[in-house]
Amino acid sequence: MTNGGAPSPDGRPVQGTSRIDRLVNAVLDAESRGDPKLAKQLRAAGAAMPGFARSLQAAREAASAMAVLPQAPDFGPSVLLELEHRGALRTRARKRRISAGRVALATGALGAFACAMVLQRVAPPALPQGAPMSELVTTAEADFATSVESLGDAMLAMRETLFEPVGTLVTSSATARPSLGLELGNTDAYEVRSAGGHAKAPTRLALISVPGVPDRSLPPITSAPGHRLADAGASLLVPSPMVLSSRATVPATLPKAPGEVWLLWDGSGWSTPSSAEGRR
Amino acid sequence: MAYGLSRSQEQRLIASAAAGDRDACGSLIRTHQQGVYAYILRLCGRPELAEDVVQEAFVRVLTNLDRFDTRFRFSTWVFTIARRVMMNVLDKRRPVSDSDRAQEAGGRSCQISINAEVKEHRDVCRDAVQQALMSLSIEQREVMVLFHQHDWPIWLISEQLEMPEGTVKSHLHRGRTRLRALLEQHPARDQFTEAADEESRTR
Repeated sequence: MTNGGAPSPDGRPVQGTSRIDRLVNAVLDAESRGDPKLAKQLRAAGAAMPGFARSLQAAREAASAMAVLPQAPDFGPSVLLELEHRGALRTRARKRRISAGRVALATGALGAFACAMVLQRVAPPALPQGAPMSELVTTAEADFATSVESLGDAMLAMRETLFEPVGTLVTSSATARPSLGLELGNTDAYEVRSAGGHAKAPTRLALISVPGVPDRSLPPITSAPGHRLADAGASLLVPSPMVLSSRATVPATLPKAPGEVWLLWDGSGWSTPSSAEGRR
Repeated sequence: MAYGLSRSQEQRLIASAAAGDRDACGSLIRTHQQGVYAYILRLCGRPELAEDVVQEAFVRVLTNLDRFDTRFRFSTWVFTIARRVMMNVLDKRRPVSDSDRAQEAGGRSCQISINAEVKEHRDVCRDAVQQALMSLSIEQREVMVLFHQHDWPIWLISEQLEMPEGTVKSHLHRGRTRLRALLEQHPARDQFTEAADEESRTR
């Protein structure tokens, strides 16, 4: 057993010094715990070990050197200055106090909000640019003649652009006929079959939004029962409710069923989608 | 430990400081600055860094006084915050552990009241101690500083460092052994011994 005092680099004592080191540590621990009796016993036990006294003395010297507190600068002024800068020295009551500035700020914000609301009510935004579909419908109802004209144009366009039979556009659901085959020169499949120039059967008219047109929540149109819609030589009776459909609700096939007509809003007017577009 | 203040005195100071009393804040700072600075300086070995850390720690402490749970020791809370600030700073900055820095740390920590000869001995001693401390692992260093410099009990160090008491003791014993060996090998060991004796007499 030796007092090498040379631990390995990681601080672990090498073999042979561990017993003295343990004893030295035990003595210092006992002294620091305020147990002089145990410390005395441990010192007595180590007295027989060569090098114990020197190791204990060296450890005490190291511990004493550790106990020296370095002189600290006065942090008071700088810390208090920083606290004042951050406003941390204000009392809670002062922090909660309603200042004139805060009242002015709140009043200004409220006034700006109220002003914005009034302006929005007085001057609603122009319709085509980003207007919600509900407002489009409202406007169309207000100017019904224009709407009828648009729908008529749309129906006419539908006749011209359809390239395959899509069933009867306006028929009685009870008397719906199956689609006819496409024959060159035979436009029978596209003709509106009506009695007395008016569609007798209930017809559902759906309006479909398209890319580029704001796709907002689209409430159903409820105020169109019995309206006559011009269709270039034919008239349609549109029962309630007309169905206004968004892209998300476009059925897989178009037309979905006999008696349904789908119209497409392209931002400036109504048109009929091709069957391929409708099947998207 | 409350560094000269009784528990009740300290509680009153804390309450006043939390209410925005500037003098109470100043008293709290003066009471604890020596210990916190010594702790941080011993850990990082860089006086300028220690000063920044301690100042930021006190600002955080005094800003969040209303969160302090008075069932616990205020000094422990301050040490915890200072330690976290230091760890954050060390994470952001590249650590510098060269001997020049360590010597600078020891050199700045002189007490002015002692005569020149004793001061020189102490400087040598602190240089050696700081250099030796910087050779220890951060855990060993921290345990050594809290135990031998601040007289914290093992259980409190265990709570502060969030490690079992057995681990704290292990770090303490290994740190002691290594520190003793390093100081024994120091060329100015004789001066160091005298300074240590002087220190133990003054304490």
